[in-house]
Amino acid sequence: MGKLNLQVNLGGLAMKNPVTTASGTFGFGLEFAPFIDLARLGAIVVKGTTLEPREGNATPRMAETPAGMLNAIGLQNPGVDAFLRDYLPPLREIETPVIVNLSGNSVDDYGRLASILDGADSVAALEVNISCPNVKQGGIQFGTLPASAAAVTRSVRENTKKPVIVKLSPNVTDITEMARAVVDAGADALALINTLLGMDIDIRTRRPVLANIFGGLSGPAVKPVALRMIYQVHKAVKVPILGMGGIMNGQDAIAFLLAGATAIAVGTANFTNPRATMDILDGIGEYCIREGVRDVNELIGAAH
Amino acid sequence: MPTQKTSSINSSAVLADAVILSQEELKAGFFRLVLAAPELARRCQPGQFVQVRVSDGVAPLLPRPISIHSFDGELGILSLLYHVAGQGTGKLSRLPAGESLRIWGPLGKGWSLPENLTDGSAAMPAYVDIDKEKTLPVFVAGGIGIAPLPPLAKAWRNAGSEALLLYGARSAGQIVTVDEFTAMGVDVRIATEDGSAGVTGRVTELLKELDRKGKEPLLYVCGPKPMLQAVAQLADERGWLCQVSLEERMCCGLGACLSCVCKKKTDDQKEGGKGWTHAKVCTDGPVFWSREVVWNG
Repeated sequence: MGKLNLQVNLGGLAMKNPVTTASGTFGFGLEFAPFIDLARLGAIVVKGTTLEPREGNATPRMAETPAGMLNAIGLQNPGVDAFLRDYLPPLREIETPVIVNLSGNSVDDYGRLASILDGADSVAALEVNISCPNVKQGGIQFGTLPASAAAVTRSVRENTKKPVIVKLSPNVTDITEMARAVVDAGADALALINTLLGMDIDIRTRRPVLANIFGGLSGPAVKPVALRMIYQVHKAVKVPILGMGGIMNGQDAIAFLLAGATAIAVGTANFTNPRATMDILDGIGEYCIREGVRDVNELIGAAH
Repeated sequence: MPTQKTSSINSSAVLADAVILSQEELKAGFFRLVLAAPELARRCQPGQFVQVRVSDGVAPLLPRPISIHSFDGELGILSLLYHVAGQGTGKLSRLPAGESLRIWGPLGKGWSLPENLTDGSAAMPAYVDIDKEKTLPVFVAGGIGIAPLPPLAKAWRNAGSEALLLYGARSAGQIVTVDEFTAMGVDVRIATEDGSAGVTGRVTELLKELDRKGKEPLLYVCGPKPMLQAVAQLADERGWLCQVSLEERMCCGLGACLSCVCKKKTDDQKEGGKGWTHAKVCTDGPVFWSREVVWNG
């Protein structure tokens, strides 16, 4: 058997393998450098970035749930200028494409951010966050109405030549309607799923656990929902999908590829195992060798 | 206010499958776990913590951040002291010697010591100009907050300094590892809320009666947040330097997820700033100077 091909193409972004990181779970990349070889990743998706710095929500911002967790960080980030100045330069040293996740308060904000990031050579692609459940603006309202999702996508598309990946919210009735709207507006790829809106209540204090009351549910608990939505969207549109939602190991990642994902992002698993991305990458390779798969692209959508 | 260099990356952290050498219940619900993890133990500094993965599966899903109670780089061992608070620590307490446990660390920025007090190998940065001859280190613990203090006490005692432990708990049943401090020659005072050991009352009562021995107290505090706040306020009133070890709900422990933030004062008010920023307890702390912390709000 010849050499195994793990290279994939995510809407114009060439990746040496399908493994990326989910925004918000991997900081700006270097936080995990003591544990993994960042150069082995297919891409690094960094923390959500906004035009201005944000302090995010009050604590508690996190709650553990059965097979999952809720977060309500609220897009805490240093702002795009500080990102380009302080956080991007060290990432340039690593031979891994950097995908910047961006978020705004208005359609215009998204366009401005796209324009600023378009000028940064070492940003390989943009992931447009229209689905953060934890901020009043710049979040979920763009991601739950097809018209506003399309307007945001168009605004980004008009301001960058880089691949545009639009991250969809699962908190909608029909995910395929959202997918079609943003693809028609110029998305090169789709990322799904973002977190599911949830909450927990402390029965001792009789109060919601999170200061923000609601938060985004992630982890193994959401995997069946993510797989279903990726399966549906793969059927509905032609663009590649970056799949995520509770991927904990190589077998999970394979299931996402089979459902229709071209690449996968590791999120909550980074918290349970700082080497998770490497173990998942190894797991994909081992599966391919065991199953006689020569090219990982053979697996994409093979469950259909 | 002392200035503080912060690093948001734990560049010395390692991942280890640590073998459990012993697991001992010191008092009801209070456990000491001794682990063999040579590479990790070699890198520890006082006040740091490790992330402990209690399960291989999804329950509990997240690792538990636990203070490093002691470490010995030469022997390659470290110990953790913890109180069973829920599902995770409950499961941890049932793991027997011989099992291995996935841990990563050492994490976070620990206690600050005077530069002239550390040996070269510890490479402890000096954040504040202190003359150790004129300083009385006072360790203030509430309940399981005793956990990260022994390596700190050891560092001061190895340098020949007098040292004091003020230890508060609800009752005698929650007083653990005092003998470790007395064996080091630390002067120990105890307060319990029910009066079952030491003086009756809270640890702040001990602090109010502090015999300063002609020296300037430097407080190192770990315990529940109301206690930290009360001690910090007292330190502020008396003009004493005070470091506090904070706790927040945590996921990664690496500065990536931003779950565990606290409000830290900034100097930007003159420029119209709000005067605080969200600092990461996991990597900017867990130890902060008490005067840097915004306690209310």
